[in-house]
Amino acid sequence: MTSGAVANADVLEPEPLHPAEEEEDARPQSAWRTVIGNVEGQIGLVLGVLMLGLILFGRFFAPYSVTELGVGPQTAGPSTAHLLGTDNLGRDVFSRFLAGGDTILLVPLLAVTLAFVVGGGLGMLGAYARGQVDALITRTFDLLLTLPPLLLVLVIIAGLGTSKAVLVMTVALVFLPRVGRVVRGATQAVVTNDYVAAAQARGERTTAILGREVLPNIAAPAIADFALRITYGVIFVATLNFLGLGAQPPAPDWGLMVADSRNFLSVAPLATLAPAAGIAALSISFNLIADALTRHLTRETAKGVVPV
Amino acid sequence: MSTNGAPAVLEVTDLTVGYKRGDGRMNEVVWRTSFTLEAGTITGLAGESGCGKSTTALAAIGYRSPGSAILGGTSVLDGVDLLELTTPKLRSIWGSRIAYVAQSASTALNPAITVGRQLAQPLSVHLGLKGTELRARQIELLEAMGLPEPEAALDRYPFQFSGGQQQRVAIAIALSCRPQVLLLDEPTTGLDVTTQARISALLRELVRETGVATLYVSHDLALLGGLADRLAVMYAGEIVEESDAHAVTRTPRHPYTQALIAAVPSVKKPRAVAGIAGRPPSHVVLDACSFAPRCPYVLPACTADHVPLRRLNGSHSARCLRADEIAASPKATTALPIPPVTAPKPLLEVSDVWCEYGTRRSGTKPVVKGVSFEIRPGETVGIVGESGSGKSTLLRAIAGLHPPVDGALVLNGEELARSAVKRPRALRRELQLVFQNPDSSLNPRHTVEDIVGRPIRLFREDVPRTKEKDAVAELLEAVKLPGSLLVRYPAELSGGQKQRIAIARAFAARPSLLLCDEVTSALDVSVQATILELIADLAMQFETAVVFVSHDLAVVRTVATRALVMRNGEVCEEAEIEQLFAAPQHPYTRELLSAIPESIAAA
Amino acid sequence: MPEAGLPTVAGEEPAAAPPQSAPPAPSPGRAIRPPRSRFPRLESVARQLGAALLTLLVISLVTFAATNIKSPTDVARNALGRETSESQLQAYVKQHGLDKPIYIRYGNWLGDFVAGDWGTSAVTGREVRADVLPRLGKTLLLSLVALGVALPISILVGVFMARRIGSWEDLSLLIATVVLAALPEFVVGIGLLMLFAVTLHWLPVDSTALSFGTTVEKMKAYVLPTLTLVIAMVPYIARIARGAAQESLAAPYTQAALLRGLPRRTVIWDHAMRNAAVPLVNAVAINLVYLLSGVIVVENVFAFPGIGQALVQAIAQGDTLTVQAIALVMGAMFIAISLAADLLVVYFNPRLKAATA
Repeated sequence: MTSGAVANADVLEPEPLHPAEEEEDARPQSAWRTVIGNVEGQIGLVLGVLMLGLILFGRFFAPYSVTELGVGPQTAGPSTAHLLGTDNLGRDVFSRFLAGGDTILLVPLLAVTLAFVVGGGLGMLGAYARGQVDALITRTFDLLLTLPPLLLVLVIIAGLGTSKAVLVMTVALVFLPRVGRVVRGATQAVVTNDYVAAAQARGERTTAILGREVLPNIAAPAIADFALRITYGVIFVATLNFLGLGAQPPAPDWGLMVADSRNFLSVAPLATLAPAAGIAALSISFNLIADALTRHLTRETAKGVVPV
Repeated sequence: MSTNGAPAVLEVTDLTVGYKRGDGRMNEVVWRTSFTLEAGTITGLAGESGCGKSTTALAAIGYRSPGSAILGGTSVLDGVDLLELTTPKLRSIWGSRIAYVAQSASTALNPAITVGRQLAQPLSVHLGLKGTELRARQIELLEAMGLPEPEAALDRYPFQFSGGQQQRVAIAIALSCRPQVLLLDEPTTGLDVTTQARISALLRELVRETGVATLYVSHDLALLGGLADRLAVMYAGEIVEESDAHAVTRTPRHPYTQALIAAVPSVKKPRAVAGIAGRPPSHVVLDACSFAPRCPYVLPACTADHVPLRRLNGSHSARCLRADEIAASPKATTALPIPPVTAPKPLLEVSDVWCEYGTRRSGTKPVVKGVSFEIRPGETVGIVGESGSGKSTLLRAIAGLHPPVDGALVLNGEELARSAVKRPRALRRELQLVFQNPDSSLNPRHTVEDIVGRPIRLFREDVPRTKEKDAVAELLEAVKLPGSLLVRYPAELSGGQKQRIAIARAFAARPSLLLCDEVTSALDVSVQATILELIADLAMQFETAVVFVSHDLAVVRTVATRALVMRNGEVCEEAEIEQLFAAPQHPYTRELLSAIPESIAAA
Repeated sequence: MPEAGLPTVAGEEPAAAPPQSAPPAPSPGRAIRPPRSRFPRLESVARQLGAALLTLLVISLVTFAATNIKSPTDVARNALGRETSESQLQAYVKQHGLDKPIYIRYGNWLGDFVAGDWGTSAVTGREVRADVLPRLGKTLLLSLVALGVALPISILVGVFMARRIGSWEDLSLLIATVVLAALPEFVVGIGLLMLFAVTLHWLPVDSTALSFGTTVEKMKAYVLPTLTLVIAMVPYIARIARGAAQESLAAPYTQAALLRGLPRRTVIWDHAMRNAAVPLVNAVAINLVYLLSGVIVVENVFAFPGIGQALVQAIAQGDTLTVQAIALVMGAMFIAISLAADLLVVYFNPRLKAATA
């Protein structure tokens, strides 16, 4: 028995006059659809897939051995026999290029995943648990963050050598607090919402709340950060290889190739430029994807700028 | 608009404003709106969210919000059309001849600049004041606004002042260069009701003394009825009624105004409120009457063509074909159902509960100090208080979200653990919570079915898995929402719809006690009324007791039979509702009651 | 004194007006407990310095641990060559005190270092300090010039983009930052080398001129490394500036400032960017540490005689003392910058400023 002697009392919700114009698509989008849905993301994806294909499968199409010396004249320009010319040791640049990307891709992938599992897990826990636990986790992150990354990695490599395992662990260690902070920040924004309090009032357990209520809402920023970290990781590892502190000769690594042929820039530029372009293409593709995700994530909060 | 003989200062004619939508199309949100501001008078512009009142006000002074465009009309000040001017020219007028006070002073005052410097800037830019002359004027202004210790205040930052004081500073800045036109955009919304009353009185004085032509935008019809001289009501981007303020609130001629007045909870009359079903259009409607789908007086003629604004008598106009026929007084409303209280044994006993904020390191502060009360099964009890009274914290403590440091909570004879997760499922089921803000109480990644279904899954043993969806559909019907909403996400729903979902979620567990934390404070008045009706209905239907927390005494009066008044963590007064309103004992209660603007006389 | 007739504000003070009825006496332990400290400003400065020292300590620890993880005999063999006999190795170990437990060696080294004795390199045979300090000066100059150029450019670009958000200028600059930010510093360096040194011959191919060239040649030698660092930093900082500027340019206080008729420059810089400063400085400080490690790479690409180049050489040669020294020095450099950033944040954030008054 409701009040108000109005004729439409029984109508659930009166239909608006122009229903078609009222509809605006306000549904939450999945990360995938966000990337696919705009040009930046599309270019990033296409480029990324291309580079992935090149790195993983390119080596099977190499016309020459990647390590054999003197398969061609030294520092020769491009020719039909050697599409990208040869380097100062007579090795075929094209073959080395096809085979040279794996460290630069795989080490960051592994390291970032590790950083997300550990760092992200800790960050989420800290933001949810608050109090002492959060203070401890934040303090640890802060301490790790004050250590300059490249310096830290160089020093550890100086001591522990340049094996792939060391590389993965140190890069993961560098990213751990950064990823942790991002995930913690995203979780904090979610945890203050009343729907989390509603779940707590229902007496749900922490794991259930983190999994059902929190995780779906931090997925998008987490994925965006993941793509971004891969970009940084690629830059990082490529730099280490360039400095001679990662992959070791005679491995056909892009970073090494740039360093090796650096002094012959005027004579055989392609031996340097081709691997440099490879590194650039790989990291640009991931950065485009990361950017597409972050920019479209914040569209709801992108208020208009005052027309000053 | 008719005049009181006062000279017209700002004449706005046929103002049309649009916003660019996501897909590039232009959405008109204000259509051919006209009004005149006269010296020394307050013109009220009333309406609910989305009606275009703020947009109208800002556009009238030439400000284009990001994404908006002024599509037509003129706004003339001293013979110059503001809408034709470029920003540099407008800059010389804004702040000096036209002043604007935004809604929330805490965000409109720059947090990183001292109050003194913010006050000084317009004075030096527009009037060229410097040195001692400048300082003297600053102090004079702050004193006129009633701020204590003006010299010291100049060097302080906004965050060091209370909300009311911040708004006084904002008003001081606005009036510093003696403007001809003053725009007030919901200046007291968000302030405590007692502070609101003081600021409103201050504004009235200032307008009289300085003779500034004022436009006061607000959703609070009762406030405007008492404060403004002329009043215009907006709906869907158009003015639907305008007249002297008394006339609009005492003898409304447009069905929307009538319905709006009927939706405002009254402090005078017990328990009468009526909501307006449906929601307003999101843009102007030009081929019919925009209110037609929700109008009790609708005729086929109303949807045939656009309805013009007609003059009814001397100063009263209304945009309705049937304005003459509509009864000149607000329609009678029936009271909300009163739940019968039969059982003698209390359902919930709160005994001497103390709650604190803070940690041992940063210092603790008591927020709830020794509160005790009882609720019987099926009873609705209101808890009223201003911000900082501890009422929300008390509610969260009962819900198990904020463990009290002392005291006991007993439900149905069983003691409740301090933290919800430690309570047995049967007890958790009995207590359900509805939150204030529907935007943050529903998980944006869950569908309506997920949201309402969760408590069913957790608590309703009488519903097997296969029947869960049916149970959800039943609940949606109980809250008067169509079943098609099952697959929607919260972002696709309106504020009122979201709050209904939150209520459905709460009742899904069939609780014996419902805790409502300011559940209507974030909603428009007409929506608020429908929510209040809904809660009253469902509470009666399911025999659920309700604790209703609100800062709004009138709202509490509408739904509750008993009420507690809280202040600074303590209970000042507890009484039956009628008793509380007829003969308040505590001085604070009296202060609260007297602060409520009461200009809407009930039939 | 408020004018008669106007409502007073006594009841609105942040401190509550006295209640009409006396409140019940609080039970013991329920009184308001204020926070503990009594000298906030001193405490905050002390805390920051303490944190800085702690970080330096950790850097020294990690460095020492990592570089000295090799067994003493390996170190000896490294220094003396593969063919040395066992007894010669043992003599070397004894001579350099490598047989002592690691924490004693650490303590000794740290003590010496702080006193000014950075040791003699086992590889070069020269005093570490004499080698490192002059290089430090050149690296500092490079870093500070690059920072001094990159910061203003980035902020101006960021504000430019924020004011035109969504326009084609903004979008094309955004894509430019995405592409540039993805390039490793050495790729940028090599690219610039290719263009300006190899193809156009405008600038030298490396920075060896710094060690023995004329003043003009010295200045030319600085250009490409600085330019590389600037190009590496600007995309990051400009993005951050864009975000911070957008937030504050969209804020209610900016609208209020505009509607007070204040001039454009005042609204953008005094009102909006002043608030943007806090998140900006914070974010830049975090990234700076990342970016300045680019100095190490850039020095390598251009054979710039700074401590970055020395560090890489020392690692390759196993020169542990030099590695330790440079690590600490670089660490101190980065920490100094972070401290400066922290102080700036306090300056710009009124709540912190007032709290430490």
